[in-house]
Amino acid sequence: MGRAQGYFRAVDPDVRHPIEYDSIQCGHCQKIVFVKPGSASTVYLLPTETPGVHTEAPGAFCGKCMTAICIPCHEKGRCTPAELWLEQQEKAITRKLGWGRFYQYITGGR
Amino acid sequence: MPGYMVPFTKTGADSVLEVAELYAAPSTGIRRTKWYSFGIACTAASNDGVHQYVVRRITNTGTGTVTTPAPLDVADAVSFAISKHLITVDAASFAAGVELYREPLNGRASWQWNANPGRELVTPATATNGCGIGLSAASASTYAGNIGFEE
Repeated sequence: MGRAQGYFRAVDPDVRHPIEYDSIQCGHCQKIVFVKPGSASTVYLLPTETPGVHTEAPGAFCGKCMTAICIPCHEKGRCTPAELWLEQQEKAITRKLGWGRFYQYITGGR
Repeated sequence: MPGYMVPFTKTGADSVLEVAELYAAPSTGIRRTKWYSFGIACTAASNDGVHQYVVRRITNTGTGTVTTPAPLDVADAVSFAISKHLITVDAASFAAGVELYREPLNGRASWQWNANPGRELVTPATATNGCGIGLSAASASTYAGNIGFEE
């Protein structure tokens, strides 16, 4: 954890200064989560219905894939790294087409 | 890895959730897309009110106007991905799609999110899979923004 993985900046005419947040990305579902400044990404800022107002929540970490994860993924209690999920989605197509046609499919015949 | 930028707009003619989408083409070459930047603003005058902006995964596409992503380096090839804006019918999968981003803001605010290198939102190299950017509730207001991605 520690280092931010993304950066959010908003400009609201009603607010004198820019609204800025660092964000991390869930290592499982890739959801973007804002983090509290100075917390080394261990405190999450969850959106509320009110613009600019967040509730603080303890961060979550997957000890298996060693990445920060979002609260819903933490509550699921199983490790599905983002890369594994992407490969599963792509393999579903590979199975349908077979490798030869899949190669043409991903290269566009180039 | 070539980078691309897609500007998008929405007119007030349609009341839809989705403002723009970017997805893998169904029949040509196919690649993962990696969103490293996106931003959107309501362009209607004096539009005070809560706008809950969302980015969600889509597995099928909506009805809209196809735009060609512009390569950041003109020497790069044309993008394999397809983008749509001026959406008139939402992608069926957008409303219940996996949500990757949500932030409520006042309608007068404009915003941008940027990923650190290697921390982009990645979509699978699977036909008609991608992401859409829009609102959590259907809106007939006007919006404009852009998506930056690599593939």
